[in-house]
Amino acid sequence: MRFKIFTGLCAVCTFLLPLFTVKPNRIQTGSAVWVFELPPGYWAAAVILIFLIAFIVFSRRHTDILFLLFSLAFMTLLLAILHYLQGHLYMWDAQEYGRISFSGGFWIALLTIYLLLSWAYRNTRHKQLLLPIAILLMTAGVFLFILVGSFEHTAILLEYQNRSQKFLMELLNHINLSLAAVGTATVIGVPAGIWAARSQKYRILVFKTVNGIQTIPSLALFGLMIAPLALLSQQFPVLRSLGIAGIGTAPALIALTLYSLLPIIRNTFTGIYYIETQIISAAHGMGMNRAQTFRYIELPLSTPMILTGIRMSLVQCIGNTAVAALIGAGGLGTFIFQGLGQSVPDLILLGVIPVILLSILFDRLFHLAEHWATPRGVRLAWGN
Amino acid sequence: MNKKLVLVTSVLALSLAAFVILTGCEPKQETKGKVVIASKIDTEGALLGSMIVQLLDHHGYEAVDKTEFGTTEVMRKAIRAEEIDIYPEYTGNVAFFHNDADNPVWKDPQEAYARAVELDEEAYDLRWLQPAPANNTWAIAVRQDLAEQNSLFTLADLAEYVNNGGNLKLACSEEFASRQGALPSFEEAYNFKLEKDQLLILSGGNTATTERAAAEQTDGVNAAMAYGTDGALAALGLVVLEDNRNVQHVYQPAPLVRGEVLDKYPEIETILNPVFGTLDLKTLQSLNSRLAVHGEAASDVAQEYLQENGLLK
Repeated sequence: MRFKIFTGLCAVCTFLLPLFTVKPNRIQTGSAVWVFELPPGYWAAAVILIFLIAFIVFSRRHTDILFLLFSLAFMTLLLAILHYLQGHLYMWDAQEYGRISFSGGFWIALLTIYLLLSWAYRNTRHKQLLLPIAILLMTAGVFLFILVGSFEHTAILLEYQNRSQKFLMELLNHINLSLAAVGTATVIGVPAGIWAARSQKYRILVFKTVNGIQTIPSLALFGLMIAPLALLSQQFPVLRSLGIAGIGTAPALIALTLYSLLPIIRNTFTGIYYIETQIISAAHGMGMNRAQTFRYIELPLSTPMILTGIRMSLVQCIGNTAVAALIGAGGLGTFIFQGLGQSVPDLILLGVIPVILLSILFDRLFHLAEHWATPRGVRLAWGN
Repeated sequence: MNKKLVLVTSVLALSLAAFVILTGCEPKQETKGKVVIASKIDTEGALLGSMIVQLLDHHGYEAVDKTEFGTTEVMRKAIRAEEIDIYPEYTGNVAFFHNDADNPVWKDPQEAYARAVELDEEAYDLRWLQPAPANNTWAIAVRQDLAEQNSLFTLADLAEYVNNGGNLKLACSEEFASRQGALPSFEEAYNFKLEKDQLLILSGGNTATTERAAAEQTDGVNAAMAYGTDGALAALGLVVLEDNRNVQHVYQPAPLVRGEVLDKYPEIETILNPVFGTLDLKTLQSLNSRLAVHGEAASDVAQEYLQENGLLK
């Protein structure tokens, strides 16, 4: 019930806040657009939609199709308003260079759509079907509106069009940097974690080091890399020819790797150290030697835990990589800092939104990998 | 089961290897040679950098585009570490790289340029090409209505207005308010003083935010720290007050090239000099405004300008 009321409140808030902002050009703040400023058809549709949502919120019927339809209707209304604004920019004192930014109401509308969809998903008997259908319909809807030109004056897309090539390059760069850093951290971190699980003395040493690294603010760590690496590359031309220098990829990669170590080492250690001693004893009882115990018992049992550590590292690393733009390593942070410098929020969003999407994407992918790597016996014991 | 772990690890390791290989060996093409062009992370940097990239590319060089690369400090480190070959820098900045800020030569365009050439060549073998006849220096901009009502054209007018109790509130960065070369030097030369409540200090603020504050009269602000060539000024209804006593250093943009690269490809100088010669204050302001205000792509604006002036076919 609380969930439904929250959904209803979100739906109402969507129209209480300005949905979009129309700006006459790239740097002026522009004017907010509320739904009640639009022609009657639009706000009437909004009011009807809210009443309908309120009705199902308070009714006891849980029909998945209804919720799915409402979320689609919500999205269509939003896109229709966007389309209307494209053609009527002059009503908000914007002309040729006018652009439309998303405002508070728009973001809450996205949340509402998500809530309606997840409610539909929870109550459906066709879990396999609902999500693909919803995604298909929504993508089709968005594409339809793109085809009729509803997005032509959308500020974030205008920013994207200006740098479409650079965007692709920086996106790949961002993914590469994050994966390379976490890859290196895995190669170092997993053995270090195993080592820590084996020996009390090294455990203290290892954790003191990585905990210490984690407390350094990311910007400071990037800064700290510059001097020693510049010195190294000046002393040894071989390093310079490999592309190692004070700024750029090398210091970013090192700093990001160092940050990625803690979750990987911590989880590897936990995964191995906390395996029940009976299991190990049983393995020994079956005649396994140390290497066999490790290979057939300890490693498989700790694999899900290790993968969780890698996943945590990767999600954290995708966020941290944004800061790497400050030392010339590129990545999506470039757009964030350009946007901050020119005080153009839409350009900041062009960097931020893909970072969020990347984090979610890799998080989901690794969830799948964890599920797949969990031994069947363990999965049964956990009951999933 | 550990095969899976090995698989995941090797995928990650492979991506690392692929990354190193991809960044290490770029495909080689038949060109006169490779030149890495960078620029600062602002609209003027994007514009000037893009011009240099397109011109060198047009003349058969492999122009590696690293425009909008980083802050002044990063640029400076990068060119000294030979990571980049060329980037547009401002003459007046050299004073601060060499602790020469008190030298009066920085207030005259020719002398400042000569001094920059001398200092950078001697210390780091960096060569300055021809500067643009535009001064992108620190300035104070006021709202158009304020300027018209009180006939403010120069900073001397502003000083008189302030001293007669006129209402003024200036948005600026911490650096502008406190650095000796900025507001304090204006106050000294024109004999006025802005009190604390006449300043709105936006820490880490840049001219885009201060100008916007003045345009929108945030917190009663009606004046803003600005740069001479800012493109947003006209669109925001602000006018720059003239520094008629030449308080500020002169900041003329010019390509800065590594000596080694220029010796190898001396042609670069003859390619770039004609372009920078045409970029006067009005031209730069209007080109910058197309980037900053209209949101056009730097490469389009640069290309169009070069073609219009017959510098690029």
